[in-house]
Amino acid sequence: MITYTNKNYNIAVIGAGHAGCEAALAAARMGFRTVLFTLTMDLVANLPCNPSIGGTGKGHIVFEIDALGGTMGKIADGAMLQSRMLNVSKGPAVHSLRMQADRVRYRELMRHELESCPNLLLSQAEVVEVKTENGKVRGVVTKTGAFYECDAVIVTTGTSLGGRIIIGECVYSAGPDNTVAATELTKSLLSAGVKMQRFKTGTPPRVHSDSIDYSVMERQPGDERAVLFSSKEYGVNKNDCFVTYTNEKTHQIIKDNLHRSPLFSGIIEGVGARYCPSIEDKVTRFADKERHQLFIEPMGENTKEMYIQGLSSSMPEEVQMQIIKSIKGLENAVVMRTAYAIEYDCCDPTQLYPTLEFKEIKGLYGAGQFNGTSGYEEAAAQGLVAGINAALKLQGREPMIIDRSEGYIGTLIDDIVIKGTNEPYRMMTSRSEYRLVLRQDNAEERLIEKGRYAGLIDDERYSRFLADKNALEAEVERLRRQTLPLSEGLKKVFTDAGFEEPSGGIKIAEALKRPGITYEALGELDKGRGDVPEYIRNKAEIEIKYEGYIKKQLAQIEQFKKLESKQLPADIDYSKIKGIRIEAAQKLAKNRPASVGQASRISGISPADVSVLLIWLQQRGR
Amino acid sequence: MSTVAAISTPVGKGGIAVIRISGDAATEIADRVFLPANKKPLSETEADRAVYGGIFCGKTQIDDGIAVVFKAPRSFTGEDTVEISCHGGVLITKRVLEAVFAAGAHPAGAGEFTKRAFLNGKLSLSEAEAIGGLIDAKTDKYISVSLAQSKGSLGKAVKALSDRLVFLAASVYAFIDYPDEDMTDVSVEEMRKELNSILYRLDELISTHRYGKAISEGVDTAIVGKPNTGKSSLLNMLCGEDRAIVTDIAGTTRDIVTEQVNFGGVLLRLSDTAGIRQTGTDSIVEEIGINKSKKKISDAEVLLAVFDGSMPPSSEDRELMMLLADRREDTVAIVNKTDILEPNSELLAELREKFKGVVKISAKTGEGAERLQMEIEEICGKRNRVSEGEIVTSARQNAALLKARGFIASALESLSLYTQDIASLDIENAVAALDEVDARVASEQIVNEIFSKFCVGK
Repeated sequence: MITYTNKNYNIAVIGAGHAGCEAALAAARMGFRTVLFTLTMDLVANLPCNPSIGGTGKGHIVFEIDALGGTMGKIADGAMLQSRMLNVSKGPAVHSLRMQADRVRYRELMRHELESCPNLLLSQAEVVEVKTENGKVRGVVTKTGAFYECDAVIVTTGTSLGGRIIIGECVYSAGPDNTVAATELTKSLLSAGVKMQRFKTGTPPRVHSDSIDYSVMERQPGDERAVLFSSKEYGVNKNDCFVTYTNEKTHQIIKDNLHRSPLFSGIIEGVGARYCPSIEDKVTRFADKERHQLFIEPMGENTKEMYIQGLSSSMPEEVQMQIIKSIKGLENAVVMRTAYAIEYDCCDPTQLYPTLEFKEIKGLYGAGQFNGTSGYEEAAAQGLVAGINAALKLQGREPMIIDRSEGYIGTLIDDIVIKGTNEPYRMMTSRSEYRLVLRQDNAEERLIEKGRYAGLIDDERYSRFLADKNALEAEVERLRRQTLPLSEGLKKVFTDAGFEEPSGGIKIAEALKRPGITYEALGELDKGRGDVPEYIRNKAEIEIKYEGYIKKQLAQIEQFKKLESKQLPADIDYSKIKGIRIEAAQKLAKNRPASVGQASRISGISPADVSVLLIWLQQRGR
Repeated sequence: MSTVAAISTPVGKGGIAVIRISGDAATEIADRVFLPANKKPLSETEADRAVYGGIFCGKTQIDDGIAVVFKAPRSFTGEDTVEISCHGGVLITKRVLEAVFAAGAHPAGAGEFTKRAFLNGKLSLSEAEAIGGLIDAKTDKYISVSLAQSKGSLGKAVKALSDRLVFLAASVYAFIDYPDEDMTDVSVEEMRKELNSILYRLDELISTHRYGKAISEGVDTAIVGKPNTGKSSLLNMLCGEDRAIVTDIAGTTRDIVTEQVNFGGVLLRLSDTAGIRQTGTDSIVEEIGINKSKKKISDAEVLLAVFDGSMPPSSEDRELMMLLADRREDTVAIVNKTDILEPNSELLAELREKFKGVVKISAKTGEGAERLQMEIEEICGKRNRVSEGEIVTSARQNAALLKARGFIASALESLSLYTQDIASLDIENAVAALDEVDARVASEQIVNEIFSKFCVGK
């Protein structure tokens, strides 16, 4: 029931998780009075699952968020406990940064950021209704009776929307970490015409550090040099992680109790993610695997709570305890938080434009788990894009859209709004067909202009970027131009890498193109080398070493852009196009793709349908 | 889509002709022209059952025949379809078709039925192409290959390769995307081995294209030799009574520039046959001039070099051998006139040294024709085929396979120059190229190209 109206805000953001924080910060920084609602003031920007930021594909996203002027990378850097670059044995395209983060510190830093941001109010309240009128959003209503009239609403409800925690036979209404669930908003969204679905995710147990026998586990320290997301400096590793394994006994306990798992007993209705399976899932699906790897990760500097990555479960509590105690090093472990599965409401993201605005409800945006994705990073990225576009629209400016060839964020959004998803969508490097050019190291080159366009990159940051860019170009140019004279040293570098001795001097770039010959190895011989920062040297090396392949990808991107640029007018009557299948016409009418490229990625649209569209466009053009 | 109709059997003298009507209104239209003897309209008749009845144009009965109703999606096109079998003969068939048009059907475009079958997902593109092949076939061989392909056997072979590549790329990425999952990494060596094995299989398929092309489109063939070696009798032998000339290209026989001859399962496109027939004495070396004969030789895919077996090699013969020196793989050396004398041993020895295929014939009596067939088939790459359905007949499929081959070669290169994850990008591109063979990712050109080759009624 509405008891009063608040007209102080242009934009309302529902939920202060990773999506909500980025959305609200972007909108407020772009000059709009923004209110960010949270159910629990003390759990803003919570990390309710793993205490880490980044990882494969996700690390790329954090770098991209940073390049666009988002906040996640900076907060993660501040809360860093350990930094590790994954996949260093593979090519630079798949190097992925993962950071263990102090979850309390993370929350604190983000809350400070929100509270110190002009134009932004962080408010504890449950939104129970989104008001719409004639296909346009009008504002939101809180449980306590306030009607916030505003021009844009961004829904970032995470797993709190209709949340239901499941631990074995025990089921109750709750959001993550036993917070209250938002129970009324779904109904309001449904009546506004939003199509909803129900997903499931889960989290492993946490145990007390003093009850763990680390002496029988493998220690996993951070990298010697702790790379950061937002800063070009190096950080300091504070904590180690540890590795242990499940065993036959563990698997037997799980098998014996499978009938009590809500996944198998049918209590869980939501669709879970294939790539983030619970331990009972892993044991049943990979029955021939003798053991599964587990990581023991710190939850924070000032807590003894440890997270057991890989042991996500929805088994009854007593079974969970048996499982834990069967594991090497955890025989005497004391559980502080029980693992649980959680079901929640989310929307079908094919209802969204790539700006993340609902096609049918102007001014309503969705981001994060509400859009069917999984992961803090994926959520933050969408929050940023939704926040930027909500603000741009109110400014009357062109939207900011990242396409598949420009970033993992673009790939993520394109995937969910075009193809939709029937399980929580997680980013992976293999999802991008342009991954060689979408690297962590060049995120700024790819995206800073877009962040600058939105107004989130200030002059100082931008001029720093330009200086780096110039330094990089100069270094690449130098490497291409300068020659290493023939010397014993040069011969040795070549033979060490398995090549024949060179017969004369060689251009530095030519030497670098050979696998195994690194910038570092040429150090002594490269007399012309100036004082170039390491991150720029690395980029220069990548640019030269992979030049051939990067060119190939750029050619592919050009092809992709061609189809992307074949616009499909919004008012096409697909049923009138001769030769198109009825089913395809219906799908196209429903999705309303903006280009032939987008149309070609809609599931159920066959190559023949695409051909028909192209032919139709051609005839129309005549 | 509109409802279309066409005569689906060859126009001409056949005992019966079939008129196919396909589209949403097929039964409705058929009701207006076909009245079953049992008076139950076709729209109410059970599907897949033959019904006898009268065929009408307005109120006038023009023929009687059989009609079968096929219900979507269980028909060739995937749409509601009625097939009316009437009496054959140009006039009557045409009248029935006109009656069907008058009842509301539109004329079907070339290849439209097959195109609809493809658009409705009843056929993959390679199956559709194969059906085109069946219709166009000028050689028996092409018919049996097309038949096997229409059942999807080339598609299956390609799919198997594509599956292996997908698995390989997936194993690289499983490791990269799940670094915590203590998985065993695919080693560079394993990848290289698998890629090489796929490359080998791909080459096997690609190598069938020479033969595939020979039985479908045909091969450009030139008959060369000095005067009086019997080139025109060879031409007659190739086009002999029981081996009909397949195509006449516009005009009188006198003007013929190219003749297509079905010789032993392959289609030979003989160029400049008019010249050979007219003069009977032409000499490539003397009359056309050395440059022209060089061009003739370089333009042809298969060369039939005719030598007079009754005499030792002349300087002209040797000159010809020289001209053919770098085409030895494509040349059949034909030693003619075995009916006159045992072939000259000096000539035979020289030819055997210079060419792989040497055949002794008598163009006059027809002796040696079978050996010649075998040699020509051999040159056209018959031995490369693995199984009937796995012959790559269309140039489009071959181009896609070559493209895939290029990407796999590039993947192997990436493995030595860069890293596995980059090689897997090449692998993904190879998969996309293989999908083009079966046109799971077809561009508009591909689709148009394929269906434009069909004739009306298919």
